[in-house]
Amino acid sequence: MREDRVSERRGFAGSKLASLRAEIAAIERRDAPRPVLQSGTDQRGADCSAGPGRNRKFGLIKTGIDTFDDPIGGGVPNAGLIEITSAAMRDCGSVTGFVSALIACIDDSDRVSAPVLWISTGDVEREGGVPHMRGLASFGLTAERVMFVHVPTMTDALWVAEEAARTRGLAAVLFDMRGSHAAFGLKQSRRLHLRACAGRTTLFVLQQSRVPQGSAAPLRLLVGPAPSYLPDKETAASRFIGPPGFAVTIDKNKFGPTGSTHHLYWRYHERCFFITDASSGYGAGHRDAYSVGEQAFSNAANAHSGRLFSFAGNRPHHARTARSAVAKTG
Amino acid sequence: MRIAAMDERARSLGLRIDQGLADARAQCPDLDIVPHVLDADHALLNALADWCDRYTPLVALDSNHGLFLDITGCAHLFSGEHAMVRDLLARLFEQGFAAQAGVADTAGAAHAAAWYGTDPARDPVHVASGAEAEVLRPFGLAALRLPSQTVDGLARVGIKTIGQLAEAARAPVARRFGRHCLQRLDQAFGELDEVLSPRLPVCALSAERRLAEPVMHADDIRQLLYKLASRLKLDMEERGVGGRVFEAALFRVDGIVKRLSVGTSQPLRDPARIDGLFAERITALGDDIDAGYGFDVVRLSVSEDAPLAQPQGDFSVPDDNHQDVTALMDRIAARLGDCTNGAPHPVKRMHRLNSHMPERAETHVPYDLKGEAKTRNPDAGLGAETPPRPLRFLPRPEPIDVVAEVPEGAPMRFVWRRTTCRVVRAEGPERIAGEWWNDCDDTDEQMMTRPRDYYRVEDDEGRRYWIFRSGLYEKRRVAADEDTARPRWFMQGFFA
Repeated sequence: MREDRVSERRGFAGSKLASLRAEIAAIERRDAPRPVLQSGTDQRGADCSAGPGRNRKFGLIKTGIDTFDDPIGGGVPNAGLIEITSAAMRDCGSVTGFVSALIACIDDSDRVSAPVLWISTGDVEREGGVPHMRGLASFGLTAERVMFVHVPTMTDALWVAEEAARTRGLAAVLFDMRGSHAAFGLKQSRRLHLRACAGRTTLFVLQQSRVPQGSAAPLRLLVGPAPSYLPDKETAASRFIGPPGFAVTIDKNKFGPTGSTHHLYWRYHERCFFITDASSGYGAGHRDAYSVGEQAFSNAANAHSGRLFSFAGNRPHHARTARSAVAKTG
Repeated sequence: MRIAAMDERARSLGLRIDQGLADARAQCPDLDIVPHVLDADHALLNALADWCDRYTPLVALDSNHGLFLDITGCAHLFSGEHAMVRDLLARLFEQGFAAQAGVADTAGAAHAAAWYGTDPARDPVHVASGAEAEVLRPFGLAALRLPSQTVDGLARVGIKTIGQLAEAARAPVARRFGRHCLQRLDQAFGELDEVLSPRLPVCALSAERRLAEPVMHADDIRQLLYKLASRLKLDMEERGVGGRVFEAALFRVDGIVKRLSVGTSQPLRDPARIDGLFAERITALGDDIDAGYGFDVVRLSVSEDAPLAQPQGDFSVPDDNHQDVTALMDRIAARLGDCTNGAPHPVKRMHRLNSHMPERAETHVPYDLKGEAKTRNPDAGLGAETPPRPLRFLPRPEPIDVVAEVPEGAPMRFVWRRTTCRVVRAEGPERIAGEWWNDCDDTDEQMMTRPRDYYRVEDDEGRRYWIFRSGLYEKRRVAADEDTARPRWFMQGFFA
């Protein structure tokens, strides 16, 4: 009897020790690359802040770009809190586009056409505009999938986000806010993160024009625009606008190094990301394209009377045929 | 200025209702006079009627001075009519009201008994069933709720009591004084039906709990609501329905009634979920629920119901995600909106409208809007053929200052929100003609009627904007409205 109790106590102490060790290991892992932890030591299956070799129950949102996926542990975690931030309010289009693209990349069978809850709070809609159905639809977020709720106060918005994070059956939850809030600090984000992990919900926090502030999200991506990339020489010289481009900086990363910037582009038709060959030394190439574009513009402007000089560079010639037809009838 | 109402002491001094104020002052110089506010009286009577809901769901207002309570089938809950009326009067007395009551089979007889049959010091009059004519016989005609001219006219021909009116020949009375007085008589005697119009619709189902000790804490209230919901669940199962709107009425000891209500997007029976919705509602109200000295009656009713088939469990599909999402929507509605006040559901969906003007092309509609399924798929045909549309959209376009190389060309640079953007790439124009058929004087409307040229532009850092020029450049312009007629540029949206 006594023996039993002693051994039981010892067993309890042993498990406690193991969990403490795991916790310390998790803390230490935040720094430089570390050896992959033994799967046995990782006691908590639902912990999303584990290292690159973690055996998680939930999947990843893979962008398909290895240079971007690898440093963040194989892809954006498909559960928990993920912060997508921008430096300025005018980058809101890029942030919205990047998140929409990430949601389009989710390939879990039960989430592909699941609804998305879009929570906006404060004055973000006045500053950055309201989400537009037709624009979102081009990224695969059709009107029947997206549900919007505007919550004026942060407290209520946090409540909605938390409730949504607990709910199964949502493809993702978007929490759209402007700037950084005192009411959305380390404590609140930790709470939301744990809820989202427990509910296996992906909660994207869009912080437009963020100022540095502590947060518990394991991954923070700073998203800005990337100048148009048009591989075709003829179109590159024109003033056509290319496919959506994102300059994504890994701002905080529990799974690997931070600080690198990746230029990702989005292909509408295949709904996938791609990168350019020249994305490392992009700046110089872009200058060239710019000066050529300037020249093309002056030519076009001189010949403007009735001449069509624009159609989208990332699409076939629909626009051109349509407009010439109009011109003929008119 | 006349006296509209007075208290016992004033009455004992010999003052009368409708007496001139100057006369009354002459009679008794130290009168306390308060101006008569009809609205306040009405509000008080309404509050009282609310409180009377604890006795019966059918409470109707009787002009501005009284209440009708239809206690059919309720009296036994209070151990009989006598006990019920005693309880009612005692509670009203505790609240500081002087009230008189009468109980009868017909509304008319009860009214007469309450107003003219009692003296406040004595017990209320109970008119036995079938004895109306006998009891009411000696009462004055005013007891029949007749207008004063009719009463005066009847008095002139010698008919002063209800008994005399009942015995008089009906045809001459009807011809001379109208059918109304006989109708009232018949209603009082129970020969004609009188329809009372209750203030609140009667709920399909309700359950209530009376407490000896009032409760104050939100947790206790929730616990009670849970128990009531469990009781309602059985009734709902029996009828094969689920509730769409639930209402909780909390009767405070001092006569104030708090009503909370929650709506659901699908018929609901589960007590735990009903309780959860009320929990959100109570949290959202926070301190607005002033418990005062506590609530002594808690009632939960189903104000709207819908058929709900008993769902059959399925082993192969362990969890129904759809259920979870609708439950979330209900919780959000309970917390952020009040469905009883007709507020729309706080969660919205996008809805496509029949307009080319981007501001009017889509709108938000409440998530639970009926008939939503009928609208055709709004994204059908929105492929590569359609011109690109922004991801984020400014419903009110913001004016920008633009420098363009040629007036009708794409901009070279523009200033938006005090920042200069240099345009590197531009696509356009996409012309959207104004909606001239919606012509109107409003400035917003005027903007809608002008043609627009939309451009997609990219600045030197790669941000893409959707901007437009409103109006056309024309050769001949009237100098007077040059400012308004000149094309202006606006910012409308952001692309990725």
